[in-house]
Amino acid sequence: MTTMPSLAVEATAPARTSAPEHLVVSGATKRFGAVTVLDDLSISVAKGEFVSLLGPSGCGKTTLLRCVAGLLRLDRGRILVAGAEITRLPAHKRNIGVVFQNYALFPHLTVAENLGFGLRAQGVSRAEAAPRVAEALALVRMTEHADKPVTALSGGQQQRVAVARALAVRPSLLLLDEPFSALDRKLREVMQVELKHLLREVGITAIFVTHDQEEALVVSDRIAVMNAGRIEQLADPATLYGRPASLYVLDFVGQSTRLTGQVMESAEGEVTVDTPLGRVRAPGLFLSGSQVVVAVRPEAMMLDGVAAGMPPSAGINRLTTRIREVSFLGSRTLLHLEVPDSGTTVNRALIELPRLPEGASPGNPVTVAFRAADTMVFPAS
Amino acid sequence: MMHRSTRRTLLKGIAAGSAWSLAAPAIVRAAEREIFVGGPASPGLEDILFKHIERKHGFKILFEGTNSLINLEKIRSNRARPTMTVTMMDDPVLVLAEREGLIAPLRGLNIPNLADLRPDARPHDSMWANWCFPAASISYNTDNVKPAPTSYAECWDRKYRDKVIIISMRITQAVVPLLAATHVATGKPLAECLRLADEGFAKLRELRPNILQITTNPPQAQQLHESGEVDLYLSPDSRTTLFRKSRGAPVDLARPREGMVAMPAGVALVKDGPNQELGMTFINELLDPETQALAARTFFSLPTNTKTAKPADLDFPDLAVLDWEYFADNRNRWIERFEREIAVR
Amino acid sequence: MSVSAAAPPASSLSAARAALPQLPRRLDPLALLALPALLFMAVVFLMPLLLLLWASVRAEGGFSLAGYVRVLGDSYYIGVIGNSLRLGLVTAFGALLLGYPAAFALARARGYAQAILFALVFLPLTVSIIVKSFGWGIVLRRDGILNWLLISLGLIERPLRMLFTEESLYAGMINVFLPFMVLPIYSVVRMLDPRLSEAAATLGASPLFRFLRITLPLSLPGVVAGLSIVFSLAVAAYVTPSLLMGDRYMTMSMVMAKAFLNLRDWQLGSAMAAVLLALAVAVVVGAGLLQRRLARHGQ
Repeated sequence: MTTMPSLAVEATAPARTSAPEHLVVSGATKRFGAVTVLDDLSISVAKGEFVSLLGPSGCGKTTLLRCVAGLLRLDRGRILVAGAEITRLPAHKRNIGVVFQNYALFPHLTVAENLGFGLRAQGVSRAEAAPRVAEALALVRMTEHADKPVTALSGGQQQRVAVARALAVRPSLLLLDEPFSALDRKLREVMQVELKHLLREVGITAIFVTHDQEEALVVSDRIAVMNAGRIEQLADPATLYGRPASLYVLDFVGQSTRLTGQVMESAEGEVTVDTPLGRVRAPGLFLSGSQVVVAVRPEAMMLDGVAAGMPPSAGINRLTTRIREVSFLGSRTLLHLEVPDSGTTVNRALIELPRLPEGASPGNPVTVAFRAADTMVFPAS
Repeated sequence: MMHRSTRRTLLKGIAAGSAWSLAAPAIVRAAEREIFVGGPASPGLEDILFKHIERKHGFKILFEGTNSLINLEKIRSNRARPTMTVTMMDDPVLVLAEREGLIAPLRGLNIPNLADLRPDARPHDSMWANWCFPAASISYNTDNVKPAPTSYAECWDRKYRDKVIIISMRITQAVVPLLAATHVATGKPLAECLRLADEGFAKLRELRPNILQITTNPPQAQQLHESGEVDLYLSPDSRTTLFRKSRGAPVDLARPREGMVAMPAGVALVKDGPNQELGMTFINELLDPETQALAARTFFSLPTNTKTAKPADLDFPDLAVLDWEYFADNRNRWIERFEREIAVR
Repeated sequence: MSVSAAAPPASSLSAARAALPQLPRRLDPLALLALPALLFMAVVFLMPLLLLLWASVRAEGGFSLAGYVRVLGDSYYIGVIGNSLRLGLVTAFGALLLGYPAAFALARARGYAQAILFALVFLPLTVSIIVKSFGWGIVLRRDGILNWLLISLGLIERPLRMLFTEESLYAGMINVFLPFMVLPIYSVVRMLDPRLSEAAATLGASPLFRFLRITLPLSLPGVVAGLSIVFSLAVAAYVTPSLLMGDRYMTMSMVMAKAFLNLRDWQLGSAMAAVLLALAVAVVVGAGLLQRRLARHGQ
């Protein structure tokens, strides 16, 4: 029960239909032997937009990137950039920049020579290339390292050189394959913001490949969550987080309380689901008796004391259970709640609190409340 | 392998023990009843001749076949503690070995058969002995060359362009083309040509268009010779040519009217080598009429013991026996001349 | 000097990894690992070498350069040195021409294909040159396979003389020494990151430009190592030229063999050996310096 990717584009980002579509991939299929890595995949990216391809390894995100770059040929499907078909063009005629996972800097060249490589390859004279190389160096604040061999640079510097090298030829599109994976966590967070800012300044269209949902949330305008060679959902981060199109997306982006259950009542766009922790009401259209999964984001859940001020209307779900574990995360605290069968099924319950309430220790009983409007229902897979 | 041969030697030693008046018991001697012989890598030597001697006398012959100069180098480097008892080498190399004091004279030793050798087979007052005289002239391919060459002069015929291989001057048999050239140039008998050899170089140079190769790899040359790539081969001796002929190869030794050249097959005792007694037995046996007849048949060469019944087809009537000392004295110079005047492209 | 001359493959291969950082001046304790090899080389190589050099300048009553005068003042021996150098160069560059693509094929192949390619490159090493010389006789003679093939294809009308020609010698030498070219290039190419070429492609570099500016410079350390190994081996070759060509193509090693074995002329032999050594050392040291430059500066 996956949403059609092209529908998802229109449904979740209606504003973007007015922006010109810069990259269009349609019907992309790629097989390696018996394995279908890209399965009739379609995606459109608007000019100047940052899109992340997010998914676990093996979902086809890197294959898609390599196909767009021209490093792999599609078995079927088309790729258009700025309206021109490039499906059959070799990589060196596509003018699509790539920042590789390991940066793939030319180890026998200096920083400046790496930056000038693409210009020289495209026949730009040394004299003409020099100011553009200087400009690219300045862009990534590497001017003072121009004559160093790239092997003498730190990881962050190497990444900046890799980005500058790709940008120096003014590509029509920039593809970044796990560009932060080689950096340590602290540096990664800094570089994510810095790179996003830099690319925005340049005004380039960029596609990031990543398996890190936080990274995707930070750098992208829209995120395409990929699963088995298809796009499960393409949406802006808030939509993706708040309105995941499937359990798969729900699972891949952020954490949630998930409870399996059976629909007891279904009326007027609202269902009542019998879960192991009690009855839950939620908006949704399901037949009575169907198996579903009810999900709530942890920050949408409150301790009952907090929720007490709310009117005891039908709009509030209340569940009572015990605290299983407390995770103190500094700025917030996560309570893991006991759910029957939580060890063997997908069931789990989480509540996120700004600070640790008194008496919140494992074994203590607790009642949580959340609004029906914040409750999502998915068909059980 | 080693174990097996040792045991076989031991049994033979016991069996043949009575033939030897030795102080030590046979079982102790058994370990020593083997001698190390260095010599040419000719087929027939180990499998026929040495087997015969081993069987007859009950000792083991450890043989290492290589060319004479390398053989000499081995004796030279082991001079202080020789391991080799008997060396079988070309006379010109034996001349060098004698000068360096690496071999002991055979005269006066317990080698009764020495007395029956023809005089020219006992060089330098029996410093060593020639155990046979292989003959050399022109080896020709019988498929391609008809009739057989009757004179050395025929080698210069233009119909043999690129069809002649000659042996490198570094190998003793190269003396034949040199003598042939000298003979063609001077008209003198072959045996006298050695001392005139410097006059033959110009003529040998004229042979160059016919020369396909100057070989230091005689087996490969022989293969090309037998395959018909090479018509004339100057000059492997009868040991090779007639042996191969007997095996059905289309080659034969020409009998030119100028005669053939006796190649020297010498045998000598290494000075201070181990088991000298066995060495003497070995040499005496090589010179024995019966063994010589076997050797003559095996190596297609002339026996040197006058009491040997000559096999009829191996009677080389005009065999020029050369002054190998003169050859030895001039060889280095000739190697140089050969290289610069004949071999150079 | 002698030690570096003796161990070109190891040092050049390690230098082959591009852009080594500057090594500290002081001795790394790991260098002690080279000690057994150094001692071994000192005994089996350095000592005989010194004796040889000594023999080349020793004369009746003292010191003499007569041996060198005889070698370097004789146009015949200059010609022999020329023969050796030509043989070394033709063999090295011929092997490069064939070995360079072969090394790439070897590095890119996988599974069975790679095993078969490896066998094709290295099995010839297990066949003695003596055996090969007979085989070449069969292939190259007038009624041999190659002539038969050329005549059957209508390329020639009458058989060509191929045996004992300079060309057949070169072909044989390249056959013998090809593995020594393939191996060092292969070991460098195998480590080349294929993404470098891809990165160049995405920057707009054509396949030729990528080869010339990325693949070739990065594989040059292997090329230089292969060239210097094959040249050193070929310039000193003795068995192969004497089997394939005989006395009509005298090389320095053949002169040395003649001098030591036939002529017993130690002065000539050792002087020729010293000249050969000087040439080989010059090439190996030159190649080493070139590699360092390549490693630092790339193109």
